[in-house]
Amino acid sequence: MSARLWRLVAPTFVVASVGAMPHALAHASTRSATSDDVRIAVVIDFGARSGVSPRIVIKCLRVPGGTNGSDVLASVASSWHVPAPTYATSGLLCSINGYPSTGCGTPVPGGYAYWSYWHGGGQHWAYADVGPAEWTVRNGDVEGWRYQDSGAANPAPAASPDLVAACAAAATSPAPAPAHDASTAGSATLFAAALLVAVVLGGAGAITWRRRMRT
Amino acid sequence: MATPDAHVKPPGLAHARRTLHPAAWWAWAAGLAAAAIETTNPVLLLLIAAVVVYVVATRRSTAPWSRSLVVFMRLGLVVIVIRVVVQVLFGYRLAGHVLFALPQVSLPSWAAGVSIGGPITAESLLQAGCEGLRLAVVLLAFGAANSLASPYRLLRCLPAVLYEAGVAVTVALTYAPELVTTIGQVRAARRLRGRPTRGLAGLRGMAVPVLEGALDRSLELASSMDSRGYGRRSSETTTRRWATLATGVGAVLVLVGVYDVLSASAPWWVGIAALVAGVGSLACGVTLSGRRTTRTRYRPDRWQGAEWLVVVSGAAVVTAFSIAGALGIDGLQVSFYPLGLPPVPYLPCLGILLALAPSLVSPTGMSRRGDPAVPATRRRDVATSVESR
Repeated sequence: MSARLWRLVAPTFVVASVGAMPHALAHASTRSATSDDVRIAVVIDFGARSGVSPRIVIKCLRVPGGTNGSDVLASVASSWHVPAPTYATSGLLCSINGYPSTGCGTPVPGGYAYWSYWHGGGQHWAYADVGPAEWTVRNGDVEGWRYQDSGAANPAPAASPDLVAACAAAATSPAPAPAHDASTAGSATLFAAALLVAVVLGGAGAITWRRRMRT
Repeated sequence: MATPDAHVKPPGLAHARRTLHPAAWWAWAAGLAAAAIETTNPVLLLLIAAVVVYVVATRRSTAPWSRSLVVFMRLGLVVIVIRVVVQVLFGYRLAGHVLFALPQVSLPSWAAGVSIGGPITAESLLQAGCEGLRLAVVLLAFGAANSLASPYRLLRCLPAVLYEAGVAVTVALTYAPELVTTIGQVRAARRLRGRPTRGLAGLRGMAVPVLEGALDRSLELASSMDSRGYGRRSSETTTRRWATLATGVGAVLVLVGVYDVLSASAPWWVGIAALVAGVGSLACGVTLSGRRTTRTRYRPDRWQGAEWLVVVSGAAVVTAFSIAGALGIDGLQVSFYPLGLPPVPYLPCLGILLALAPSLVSPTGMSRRGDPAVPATRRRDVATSVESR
């Protein structure tokens, strides 16, 4: 591709992609409003060793069609007023409802401690093939989460995988206690100060560089 | 800064003309690079980059390779762009705020986890940008070492045991500086002929001559050093063979140790043990082979107080980051889920600012080839004769 053609194409691409952004956002919101809602349940099992009480929490809810597993988990957390799920830099889910408070996929004897993802909606739990962000929920699904801290054994959530049974259990089981969001959001002042130092240093370096080039 | 043995220096030699030992610059840059590997926090990474730029700007010589930093900075920008584009096209799909969506190619179920196209979230772009920035800052530190240290002086202070691999070592140490020098030459030549030097057309015309030219220059230097007896010895002895073995084993152990210490996936003592064993083995190899060497050095680079300070300031950054990591201080590994400002940890910031010390304590090497002994009037001749090699 010649340089002149490239100079024409590159800005066009940038303008087109920036122009498409609000359109895409608007499209996403209208789609969620018009499409049919799906009825699902979310089962969260903190595992036998966690000491979290109640150990199993269940939420029965309606979400717009096309919602993914991550969004479901986030909306469940906000409806309970508990910390939002956190993810590691690799995209691995670290904590649900603020548990565990530290560590992400830490090694335990025989394996790793992590949140396992399951799909219910019938007689059995099925271990998920893809991550929650890639999974679109369907009507009648039960989204299962179980914290695995026992090493090699990989048990499914200790609750029914059936939607009707899950919703019946949700009506009677207690909701988790609301907790403060212990997220590690940085202070804006410190952030700005550090950034300012970096910019001043870099700028001073650039000026010195040019000055020494001239002499 | 007054150096401990300032009074020993021959009279008439300006103090400002002394250049810092090249190994000290490499140690300083390695400290900053190791710190950058430990973090994905954009604030810390930008601070490291700013410190690197400032120190190089104030302390670089006028040698042709002192422009290395600019070349490596551009390379770093390319790395960031590639990382973000790969994330947009093929990256794993993560939760978050969807900015826009690309048409998604549906793949069969056995390719689960791989995706082409699909919704692009702000979080995934930020994450990819920070990972790209980390690699860019490591490259910048490497560029700083190449800018500040004379590759020829570094070559001179190599231990005798590495003479075995003379050509490989020479090419490894001088390729990057020669690349920067060759870029300047090829660009000037193309400009004289009226050919494009910028943009895609310039890149297409310059890439092959620059890469080839730089390798040729490195090989030429290696062969000229070989013809002058670099790396020769009279006879093969058992001691030398043991020394070579010890060096090889030591180098591999050091490599394993550094990886274990930095990655933290292995138990902490494995990395330390491998590092200690490796350094011990390397020391054995170097002393064994050095024992029989009768080589003398003409005007060896001196290791003085300024060198120690520069090395310590580089080590301080790594130490600050390691302590912060061991204490579990937030902010080294930044996650943008949930989306928010990254925390700024104090200790690593202080460590990074300590790395500014070389801009105060190191002597400014303003001579062309970084040789303090060549008088100003003759420096130009030396430079041209070396360049027209």
